[in-house]
Amino acid sequence: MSKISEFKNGCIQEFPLQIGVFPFGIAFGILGIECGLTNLQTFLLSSIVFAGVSQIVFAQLISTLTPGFIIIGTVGVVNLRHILYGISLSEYLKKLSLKWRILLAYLITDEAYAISYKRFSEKKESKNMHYHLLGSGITLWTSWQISTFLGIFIGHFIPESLNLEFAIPLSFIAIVAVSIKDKPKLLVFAISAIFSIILKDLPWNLWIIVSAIIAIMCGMFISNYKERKQ
Amino acid sequence: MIWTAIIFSGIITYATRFLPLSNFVPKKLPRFIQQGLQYVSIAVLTPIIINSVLVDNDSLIIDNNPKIYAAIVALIVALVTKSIPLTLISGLAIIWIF
Repeated sequence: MSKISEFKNGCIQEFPLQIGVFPFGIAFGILGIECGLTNLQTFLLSSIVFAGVSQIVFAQLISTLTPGFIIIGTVGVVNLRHILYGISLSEYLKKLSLKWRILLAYLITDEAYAISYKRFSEKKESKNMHYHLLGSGITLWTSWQISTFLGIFIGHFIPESLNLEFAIPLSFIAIVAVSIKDKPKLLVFAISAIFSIILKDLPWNLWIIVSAIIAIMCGMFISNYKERKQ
Repeated sequence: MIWTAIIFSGIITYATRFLPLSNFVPKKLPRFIQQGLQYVSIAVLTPIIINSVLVDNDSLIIDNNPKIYAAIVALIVALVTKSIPLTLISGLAIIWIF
């Protein structure tokens, strides 16, 4: 397929996912302002970091005056999942020039990965297929910037009592509920929740990153144990 | 301080995206690391949910907290319908009612 048709397909297939992304971006814009970030800081988080969950954590931690290195570390752990995406994409992208890989890396997100990985793995390989990821990535990027901008704007006007930013944890609840597909994942969820509550009073909001790491390590231990038993 | 944190968060986020595509990282990670990475989303989102639902001004709020009911209803709706929009609407509706 030609570059243009790969690119177009990426855009078109990414588009329906914006039903979820766009409100999320608006909610992030509202949250950023409410957490005390300036308009510019909130807006540039969406282009410099460009990762929804990390931006949410960032805003929440800033609002409780967490030290910078804890915030950066927590953001790092949140983003570890990108490594999985990168590894599975690298099989298809490794032949590209460094310039392309530098650009495409910036566009790797949950939603663009989901759409373009499907194209890479299910359809015939072509030398232009990276244009598909370019298309899905740019579509998501544009929608994220516009929705953040709208959220910042709306955030100054709508009453706080509407609690619209509460849509964020609600959508995380939906994601977690859908991704608990087996017992190890259920256990990881329970361990993460229990440790969050136990460790709540650690200084500097360390409990978020510490409970996440404990739960990930328990997950590794559980899957290792399961494999040995088989 | 905030700007420094934004820039370094950006750098670390980009690193998690770029390193696997670079030649610095082996294409096959040890199995236990790969398995661990599969749990990152659940392990990370759970404390963030708890932070948004149960924590206000650095303390746990259990009594008189409508967000707890909203979260429970949203969880049930999510498990039954597997739909993000329906989960959002039901959760927000509970908050607005209380």
